[in-house]
Amino acid sequence: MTRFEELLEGHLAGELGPEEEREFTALLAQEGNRRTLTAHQTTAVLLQGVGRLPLSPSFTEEVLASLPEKRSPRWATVWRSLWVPQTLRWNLASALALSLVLAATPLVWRAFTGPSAILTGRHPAVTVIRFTLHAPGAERVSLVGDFNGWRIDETFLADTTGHGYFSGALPLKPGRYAYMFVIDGTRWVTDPGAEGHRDDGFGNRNAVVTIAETDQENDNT
Amino acid sequence: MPTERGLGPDHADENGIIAQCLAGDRKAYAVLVERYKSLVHDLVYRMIGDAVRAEDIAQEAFVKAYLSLRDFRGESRFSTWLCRIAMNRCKDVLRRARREVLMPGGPDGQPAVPDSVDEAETPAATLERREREEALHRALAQLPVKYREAVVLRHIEGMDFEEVGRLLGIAAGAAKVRTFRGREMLRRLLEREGFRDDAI
Repeated sequence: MTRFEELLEGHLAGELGPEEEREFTALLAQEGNRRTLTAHQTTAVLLQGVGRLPLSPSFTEEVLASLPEKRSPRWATVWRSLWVPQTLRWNLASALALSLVLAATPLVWRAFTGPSAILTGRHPAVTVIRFTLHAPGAERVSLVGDFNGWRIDETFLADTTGHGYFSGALPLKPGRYAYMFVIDGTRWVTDPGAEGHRDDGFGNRNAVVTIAETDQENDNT
Repeated sequence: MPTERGLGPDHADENGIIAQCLAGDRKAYAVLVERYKSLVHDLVYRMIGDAVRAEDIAQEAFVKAYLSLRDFRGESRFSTWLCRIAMNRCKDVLRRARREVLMPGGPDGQPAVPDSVDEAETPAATLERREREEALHRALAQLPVKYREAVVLRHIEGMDFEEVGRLLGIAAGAAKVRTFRGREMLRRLLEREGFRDDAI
């Protein structure tokens, strides 16, 4: 946009200050600029003279008739949609997809829950047992037993006191388990506070813990 | 000649009306429709050039504005926001019109020209005015949309450059440039239609 065009636009909008108006007038000394001004003035007048089209008398009523009855909060809209009867539109593809979902649901359910749950409906209760050992000077203490295949690197007790009191909790299903503590990976120690002991067949005594059989269905009754 | 142009005065009651609408009072919205229907309808007509569809599109714009009232944050005037909704709808229609042929003008296919409100106008003057407006209508329809919208808002709807810029999402300076370029194109198109500067 040239300076003249800029001033012309300001002149038509009535936005020029006295100084700019003088500058604009000086530029009108050129014949080409005068012609441009006349052309734009007449076009602008023509545009401004355009009348507005009449509207149909029912315009406002038609708009109001298109508005929803009452504006509701969004949560209310969602809540209402839960209870208002809906018409389900379907086609062959959606019916097939629904059939597949219905057929697959029992298989998926079985995969997640396991066969025993399905067959018996009983859920054996799991009891969390806390094991503790006072082993001052030990760096690490692991718990080994029937429940973890006697692997010394699987279940470790933690010394949360900093004074050699190692402890840890383990969820166990009902049953009778033999177990031992292993200090620093080498020294096997029998739990002195165990409820009972049994001979391991090699001259050592394993500690024994018994988890009583309980049934959730019975518990609930 | 139009008597009221631009976005109109700043109505202090509009926030209250909008609050009433949000509370579910549909009748309150009638005040806003009455206030801006002429502006919105004319704007839409000048943009798409089809009088019949202009009324439908203008009504759609009002309905869409009502349904979106929650999103109106009062950062601009309601009329600016409403016109922007209408302009966006026009652009959608014009985009689609590239694929389908948009019937120009009124129901008879001719540009819709309002009847004169000047009872003193002679039949010859009325004929001349109708010819001018029809030529202008055809020329406007040939302008690229970005120039057409600036020219329509500035000269037909009588908005200042600040308003035009706000409505189009551009700076006032850019609105000024687009208006000038659009008017320049329009002038050349009118010349091609046989109108000389002294004739218009």
